Amino acid sequence: MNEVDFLELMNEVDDGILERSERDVLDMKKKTSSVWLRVGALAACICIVAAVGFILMQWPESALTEMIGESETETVTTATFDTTATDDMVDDIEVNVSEGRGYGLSLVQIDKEAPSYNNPYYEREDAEPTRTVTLFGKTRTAKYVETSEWMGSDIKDEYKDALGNTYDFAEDGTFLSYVGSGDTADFRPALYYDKGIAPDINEDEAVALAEKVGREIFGEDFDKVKFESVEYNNFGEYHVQFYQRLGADGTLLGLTCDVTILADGRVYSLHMGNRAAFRELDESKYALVTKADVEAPAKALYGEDADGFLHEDIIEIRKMNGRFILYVMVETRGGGEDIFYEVTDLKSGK
Amino acid sequence: MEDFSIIALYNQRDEKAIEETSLKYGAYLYSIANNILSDVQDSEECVNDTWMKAWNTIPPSRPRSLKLFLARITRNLSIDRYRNSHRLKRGRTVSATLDEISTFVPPRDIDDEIERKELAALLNTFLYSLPPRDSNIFVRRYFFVEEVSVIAEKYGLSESNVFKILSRTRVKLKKYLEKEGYSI
Repeated sequence: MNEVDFLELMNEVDDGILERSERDVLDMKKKTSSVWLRVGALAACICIVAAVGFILMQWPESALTEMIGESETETVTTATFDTTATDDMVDDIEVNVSEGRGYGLSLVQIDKEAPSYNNPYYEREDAEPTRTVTLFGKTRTAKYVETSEWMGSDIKDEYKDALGNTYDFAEDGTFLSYVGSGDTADFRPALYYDKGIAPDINEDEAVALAEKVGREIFGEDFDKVKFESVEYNNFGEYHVQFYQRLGADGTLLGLTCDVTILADGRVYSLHMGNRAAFRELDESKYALVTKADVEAPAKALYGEDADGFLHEDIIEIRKMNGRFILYVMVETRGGGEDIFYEVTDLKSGK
Repeated sequence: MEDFSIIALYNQRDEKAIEETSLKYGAYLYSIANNILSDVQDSEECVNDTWMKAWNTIPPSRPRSLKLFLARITRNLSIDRYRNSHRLKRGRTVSATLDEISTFVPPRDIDDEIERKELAALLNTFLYSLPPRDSNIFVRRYFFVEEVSVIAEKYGLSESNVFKILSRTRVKLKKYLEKEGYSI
């Protein structure tokens, strides 16, 4: 059987399995489209709450307690985290701090399935309507499109210019990424790769160019990352990665910078991950994190079944739905498992 | 128009069936074909051929899900066209997809219809055994041949998460097939 045969065999997949995958996608879309209803309802609630609050402020405290009682009012917030209870949920796994054992993260296991963002796409009312961007010697005006929370840690405001190039910014205006469209309109990777034409630039030149534009655009944040890998893929692109490895043993992934260079030497895209979110974390604390911080709880779950830990030797912390989630992929004899924890004690000031 | 009404049109041999099917599922089927072929003209031809095949098959076929019935036809036509194509150029998405598949398919020929059915049954058993999210992502990639970025977007995951889920599922499938006697 070859690869195309398998692709054909996939036609025999049960309707039930296919329908489930379609339903799953529709549920995600429904979650997105319900955002506007929530925004409208929230606006109405704020007016009512403000009016009631003003009235209540005139009443003595004891009378307020009698009226409202002990229950809390529910607030619509994007920081709400959707967790699913499982038989394997463990509360507050604590790793004791001892020499060589890492920082001692307080980890609360979330679930074995990847948590989903509550609001993957929406329009942020207070986003800047336009932003001026200067890249590669050209200055352009880009218009706000929408906000997304699903890619990496940083909440991203997406902007597009007249040529269709996409720019992402964090809420505070920090530049996060660029993906070319108009600038790279004649992008035909197949002309290079499939016809066996050698790229116009070699690997070293691609890395040098990636470093040049990375430094130019991301400034001192780029000085914090180091070259990690380069790959010339079958799309006719060089994909260059730079990582900031944090923690006492370098397993905690900090800033990430990905640059895609086309075979003809043009920059197709560049992105810096964790650029805004990590500013909320206390550097003196996460500098101490080591793989021991996650190995102990992972072993507690998988014990002898685990062949090893930390796929690719990386611990990832992502900000999702307002909380910091530590993501660990553990290699087990069954193939591999994901574990998701909420990390509560790395924030600044805590 | 509801699917059962469209199917009724086919049964009545009313050519409006094609028009309604095209309106409802044309874009969907085109995206499936294009994911495999990465060519506008070829994809459009496969979708047009799908209408003809649907017309010639319903009746007697009575699809439970018209959408998936059509998707399978389009996939088959697209894969046949891909096989028969003499061009070197591989579609962007299917190229990467086929590279991934090469890491776990059993090398032996599956000519025997019975053996093929057996392998299909194993595949379904395997997919049902997975956590729903992992199974769904596997299906989006290898049935619908969607790009990882599209899958990531649909599920609110990062691309690296999707790659990891796919990688892990391929390893599990490989081990499962080996256990069932399809060594790699």
